Amino acid sequence: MPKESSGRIELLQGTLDMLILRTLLFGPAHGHQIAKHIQRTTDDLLQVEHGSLYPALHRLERKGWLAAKWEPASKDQKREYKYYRLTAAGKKQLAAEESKWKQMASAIARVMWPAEEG
Amino acid sequence: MFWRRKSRDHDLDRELRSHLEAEAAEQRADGLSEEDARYAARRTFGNTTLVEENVREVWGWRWLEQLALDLRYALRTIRKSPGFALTAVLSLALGIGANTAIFSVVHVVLLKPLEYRDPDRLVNFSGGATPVRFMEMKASARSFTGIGAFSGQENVTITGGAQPEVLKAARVSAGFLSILGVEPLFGRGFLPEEDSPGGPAVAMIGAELWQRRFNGDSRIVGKTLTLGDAPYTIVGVLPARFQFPFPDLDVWLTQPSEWPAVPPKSRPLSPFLSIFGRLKPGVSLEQASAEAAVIQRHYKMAHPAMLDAKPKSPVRVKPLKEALVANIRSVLWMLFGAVGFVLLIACANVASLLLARANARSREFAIRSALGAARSRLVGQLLAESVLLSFAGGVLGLLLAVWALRAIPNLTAFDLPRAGEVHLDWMVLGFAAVLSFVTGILFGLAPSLDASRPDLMGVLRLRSESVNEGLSGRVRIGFTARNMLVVGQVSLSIVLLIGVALLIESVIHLRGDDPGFNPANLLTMRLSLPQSRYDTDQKEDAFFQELIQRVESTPGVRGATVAMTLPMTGFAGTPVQDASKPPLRLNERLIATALVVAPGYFKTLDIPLQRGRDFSERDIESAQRVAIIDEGLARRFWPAYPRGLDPIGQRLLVGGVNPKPAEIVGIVGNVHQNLENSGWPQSVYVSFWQDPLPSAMLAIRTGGNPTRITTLVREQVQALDRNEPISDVKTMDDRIEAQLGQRRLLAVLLGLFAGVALLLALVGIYGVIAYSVEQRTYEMGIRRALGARESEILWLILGQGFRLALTGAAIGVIGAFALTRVMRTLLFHVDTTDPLTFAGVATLFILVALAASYVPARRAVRIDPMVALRYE
Repeated sequence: MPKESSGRIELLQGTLDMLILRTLLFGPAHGHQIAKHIQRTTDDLLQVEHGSLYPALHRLERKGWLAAKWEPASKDQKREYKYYRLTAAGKKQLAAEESKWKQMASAIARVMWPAEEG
Repeated sequence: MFWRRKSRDHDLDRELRSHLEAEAAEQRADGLSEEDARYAARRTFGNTTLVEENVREVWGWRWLEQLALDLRYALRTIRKSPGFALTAVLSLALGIGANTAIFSVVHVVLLKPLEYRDPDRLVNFSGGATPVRFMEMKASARSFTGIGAFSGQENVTITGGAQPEVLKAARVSAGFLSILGVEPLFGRGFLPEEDSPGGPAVAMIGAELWQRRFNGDSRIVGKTLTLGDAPYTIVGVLPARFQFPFPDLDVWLTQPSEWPAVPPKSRPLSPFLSIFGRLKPGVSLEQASAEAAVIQRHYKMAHPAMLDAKPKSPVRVKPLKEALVANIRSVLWMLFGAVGFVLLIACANVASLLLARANARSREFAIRSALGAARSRLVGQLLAESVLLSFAGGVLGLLLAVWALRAIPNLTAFDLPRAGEVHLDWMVLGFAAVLSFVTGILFGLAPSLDASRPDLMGVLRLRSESVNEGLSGRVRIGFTARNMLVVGQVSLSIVLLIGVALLIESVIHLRGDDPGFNPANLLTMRLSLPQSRYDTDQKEDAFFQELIQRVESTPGVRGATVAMTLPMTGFAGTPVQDASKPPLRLNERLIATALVVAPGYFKTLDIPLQRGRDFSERDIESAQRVAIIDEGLARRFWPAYPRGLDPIGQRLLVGGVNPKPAEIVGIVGNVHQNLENSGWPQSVYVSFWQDPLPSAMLAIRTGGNPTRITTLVREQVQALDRNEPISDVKTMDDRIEAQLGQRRLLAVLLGLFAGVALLLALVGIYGVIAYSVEQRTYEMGIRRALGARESEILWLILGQGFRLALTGAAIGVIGAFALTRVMRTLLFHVDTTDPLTFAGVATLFILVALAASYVPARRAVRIDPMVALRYE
């Protein structure tokens, strides 16, 4: 479903996983925080679809890159959230995806702006 | 697993709720009211159900869960419309049940290998062989590990001990068990010395007879079996369901060359043996056939006069299985095809019912897809519904099949080989299951694909558009897919109906043809004189002469006679030639039906004597040999008959072994020896007193119902000889019925299937027309309001039904044209493409189809314009 909103960019296939892993590098977070973090750091340029976020979280958990635990919120002790935490395997995966991403980005850049590379 | 999924569901629900709350809290912090914050949170989050479903998909058992959900939902929808479900399940059950039943027969009879060791290596030689040819084949052939022969089936009477009983017996070569690779239950098979003339009289019995008559005596081997007064030593018991060479045998004898159905004198010359064998490893059918052809050439050179020296088609070696099912194969495939058609028609019917329902539910689907249901989910759900229906139909069909399978062994008219093996096994169950599943997909896929593509605008579109189309003459008859289904149904049932009509015509022709004798009030039975007590021709003659006199003096009897064979009880051929011509080789002479009959035969059977006289008591062995010929033979040898040279007084050479010329004393009308009159077109009769036989058919003409005097005749026979066994007591009408049997049974079965097909097709037409009338109610209202007359409306609707039926009938007639040729062997005096039948069936069908569309058409006529225009 293409969004009509201007200025927002559709996430590239597979990049959401990397962004989630990267977000969790700062420490455990729950779904809402992860979504908000991505949106805020990109100045609302990247809008995280909840229909993709939660399946991605569960998928990453299944693969063992994330671990999840119900914990009371730091601000409001009465509320419990499901906090996701990066595992050792997750960190490795993030490193791998990052380097892959860098390679691809530079490759794309070379095709798109060959002169600047000169 | 299930509880874990439940807790996971709960967990996910909690997670999403906490997310919404966090979002709402944020919105509140931005200054929104409590309620607005909650709505805003929901808005930003989107469709929670969709998110949940997507997450579950990640978990991996979504499909299973969906299946369970779909099935539950389908069950609920089906329960809500029991009428629809009942119609669908019943028609599917009929189709699946019939297919399963016929498949179980086809599976055993045609597909399953014979239950012998390496059954593929077992072969059969084409054509009948004389004992001489069999011996030569056996001596010379190198392609086989063993060769054996068997003669035709015979009836034997078991006496001694309990009640005398007529049993089915066959004569087989000594080595038959080792060729087939079968071990006897007890004892041993036949030894070569027992298979040679004059060898010890031995017999094997079947397991069923062993249980029934000997109480499963484990020391049965060596005991004596009395068959027609002669003692036989029992050497072995054969396993249950052993069906070689014929089904339902009780007794196996050896010495196939001594088949009593052929008079001893004629045996060396008569090709009554069937040869079978087992191929050596590595030898192909072609190699074996080539060798058989070479041996046949040598045989022909050595015995140029033998009747089997020049067979009509070259001697070939074929798989034994093929020979055993040759008669029934086309019948079974035809039935299988017919039930396949019925199932297709049933599928089409259910599909069209589903289409109608899907149409009615289009709003539901439109709403669901607007709410975000994926198309695959909609299709899946509809398919779940149809598969559920088809499985219900399958289970019910299986019950029907089980019931039908019990009846199959009783369908003796088909003379099914291996009928005893027909039962429900995994193969049949698997067939029913696969059939149900495929059926469900077959009738479910089209409607669900269609319904899952809901045209949102179309659902909401104004009726005026379709009304315009209707009024402007561009009539959309309901739904195209439904029309196609109905046309398919009509054409399939037309094919079936034409097949049935052709069969019925054949049966009528068979019954209607004048057989040349009067079959009414004719009682017939077989008498077999024990050779031990009737060891001379004189004794045999005396018995039968006395018997005829006694029977004729019985009240209610108009005439009695004996003969080697009667019409409808089988017949034999013999070489004949005009004795005035130079003698020809036996196999160059005319083969005519040979009948050995006592005086009074023609009178008793009501066969007109055209010229000359009947046989008399003076035509005995010592007197001049005499013969009576039929009109066919007279015309064949004296083409000018009834003018020209009078055949009476001419002489004929009849039979094979140095025949003395026989003087023609009479000419009679032609007689059909079987219903199809498929024997030799000419016949010659010789005197029973000149050619006495130990076994004969007794025919009795009665004034009234012939079965009433059966007991009286039995008493007369027993008064003459207390131990004289009588067998095969039947009226001539029963014999004719029995010959009609296979065709009649086939006509009944096919008729049944065609009837179901017709009914389903009519329901289909009715459904389509009724649906279209309902769709066009508004249009009809306008037409009526504008002054259309009732008859115009009526014809408008009837025209739809007519067009559907006509299209279907046209396709059906073309299909039948291509398919009825498989029936050629079953038809009699009817062409497989008989134009009258084709046109008649098609016309009849169209008329019935018009009647089916009349009911909804009447409804259209009765539409009140005021009500119709307010409709919806």
